[in-house]
Amino acid sequence: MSEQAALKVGNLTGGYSVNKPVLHGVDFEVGTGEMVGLIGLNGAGKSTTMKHILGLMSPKEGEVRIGGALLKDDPDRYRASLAFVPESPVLYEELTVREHMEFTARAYGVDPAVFEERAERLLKLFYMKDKEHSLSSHLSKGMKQKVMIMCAFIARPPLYVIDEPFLGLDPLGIRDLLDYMVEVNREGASILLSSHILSTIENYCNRFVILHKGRILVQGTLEDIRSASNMPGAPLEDIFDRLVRAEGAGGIQ
Amino acid sequence: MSARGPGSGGEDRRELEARGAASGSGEIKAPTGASFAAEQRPPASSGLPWPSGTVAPMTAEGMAALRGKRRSLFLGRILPYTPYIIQSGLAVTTMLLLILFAAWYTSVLQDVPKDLPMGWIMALLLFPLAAWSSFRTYMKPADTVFLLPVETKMNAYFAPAWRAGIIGKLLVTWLVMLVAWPIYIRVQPDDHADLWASLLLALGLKLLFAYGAWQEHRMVSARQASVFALLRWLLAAGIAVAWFRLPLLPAAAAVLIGAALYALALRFPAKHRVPWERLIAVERAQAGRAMRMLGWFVDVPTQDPRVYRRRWLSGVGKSIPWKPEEAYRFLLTRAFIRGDLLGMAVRLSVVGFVLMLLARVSWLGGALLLLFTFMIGVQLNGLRRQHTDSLWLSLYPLPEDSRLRAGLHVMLRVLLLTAAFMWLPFLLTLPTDPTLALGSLAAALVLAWLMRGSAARKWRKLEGEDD
Repeated sequence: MSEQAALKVGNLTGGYSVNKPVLHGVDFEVGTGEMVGLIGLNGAGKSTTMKHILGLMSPKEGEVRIGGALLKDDPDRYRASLAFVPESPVLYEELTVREHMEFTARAYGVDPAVFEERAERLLKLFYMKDKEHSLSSHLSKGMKQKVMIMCAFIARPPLYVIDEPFLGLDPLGIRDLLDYMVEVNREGASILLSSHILSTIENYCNRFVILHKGRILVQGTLEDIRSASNMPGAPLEDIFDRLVRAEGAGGIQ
Repeated sequence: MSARGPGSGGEDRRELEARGAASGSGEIKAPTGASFAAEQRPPASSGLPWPSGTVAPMTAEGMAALRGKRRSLFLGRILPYTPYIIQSGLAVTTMLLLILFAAWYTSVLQDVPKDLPMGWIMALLLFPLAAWSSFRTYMKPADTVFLLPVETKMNAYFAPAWRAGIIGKLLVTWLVMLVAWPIYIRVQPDDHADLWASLLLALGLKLLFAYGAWQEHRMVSARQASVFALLRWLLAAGIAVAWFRLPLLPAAAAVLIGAALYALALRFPAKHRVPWERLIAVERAQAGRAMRMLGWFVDVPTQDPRVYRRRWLSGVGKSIPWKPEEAYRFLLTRAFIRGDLLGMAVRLSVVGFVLMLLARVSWLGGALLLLFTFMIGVQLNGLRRQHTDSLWLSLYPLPEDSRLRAGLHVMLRVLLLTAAFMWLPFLLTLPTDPTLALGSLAAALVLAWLMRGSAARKWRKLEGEDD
């Protein structure tokens, strides 16, 4: 799988300080058309992993490949293959909702006609049609988050990196986002998703990577994780609880 | 003209901290950056009347000390840039302008034109200075949580802001009046408006309008606040004109009645005791403006931009080619039409236009056109700093040099447009002195092009340093 993997994080060690890495040998893949959940406690290293994938941090050891390419080899292709939804919305105060989408479409080279079509659909889907000409500073937190999500889906790259997307979203927004993720997934896009709402993502992700203190505790399908933790049929939340607490007590016996 | 300033070292800071932690010394070696000014100061010299680490008592003294502390923190951010500003040529330019002004002033005093409308001129000088009011409160968003419980005691916190807001502007007003006075009494030696009464009037107006401006902040309705702001400026103009144009009795009556009615009207609108959110927004805008003004001379970390909707300009930028190479130009154009830079360019162009109407008949007009084009060009250097640290610019698949190209593109277009606009009065000169009119235009356009070239070199160098 690794040759075709949409994302390959290989034995990644790194962090903010050279001497104190946050991540230790993190190694996983996201296959084409796969949705992978990256889960862990606060400070487990999820956002740091994502920053390495985005190229905002450089690995001390290991590498990150998107569609087989390293960032330094082919920055244009690497960047164009990736869309990111950050945990906290990062918007330009001078742009309206629609202009954010237009800027993204221009940057990713989306055809204007295709942009119009996608923008209309997304604005309606996320109940943002009446806000399309509002400046971002006039939006609520949840609406700002919707703008981030819509921008990512305007680009339609092969890989989405989505960090805690449900924070601040209304119930309809959460459902619409999940449906949309399933749709792009079916069309062949891959998604790396981090979230604390385990009961929700349990039903959507093909596989899970559980991070704890910068190391992967376990990864695989829900069934793999259940058998690794001797908890057949248990929900993800219970398994996660047990795995993380057991790690503090020296591992599962 | 711009110099590379201190304080652009967030990275260095983390590195220093990491190094300090790693070596176990726990000490950060005194950094030179402006952002470290606060850390450099030993806690004992914080200026607070109690030892460091003590929880500030919420007495009047404590509240005033809190504002004082915040003020010194702000100054600590600004002051390290002073040498860079002086180096940037501001000191020389100011000296030059002062010498020019002194020469002009002396020549006017020696031979005052008797038909000079000094009454109007005095009113024109006094009224904006009288109406102009602002307060530095140094309020922060967290204050709505931590200071809200002591809302009833906040007057102690604001008192120094009121004092500072009035005294500085009053001194400027008095200075301007004192400078204009010798000309005034030469033109209208018998006027009732004597110096002492006028200085006293300036004091009274400053107090009145500062009070009014503070009440505007407190008003619940933003619409009412803008109406009262307009009223403040109109009344200031009315009183200034009345004082310098009418005979003593009607003038005094106009001043007293106008002031009394204004003070009375201020009582009616519903007001907050402390307008937390408004003060925080105003403070953020003022701090941002201070940093942006610094940004004309030095490379400073960018602040939150101030955004104006400007719907009438919403069509600008639609024609930008739909290509990744031009995507940043789209962002920059939208940011420009909704930001402060456009406001500054327009204000300077309008002032330039008016001056050109007066000076278009001599070489002075041409020189002024070049001066104003140059000043606008210097300010447009701020385009480079727009969204420098934006997350999306590092994530989106934008060609590497698109930021630089877009900045220069917008800069040149704006410079050419404003230069052409300010040149328009020369159309009247064209039939009589075509050499002057066309020569001025050509010189301004060449200057615009040269400024673009200089910006390109400077920006490339700075980009290199950033990398």
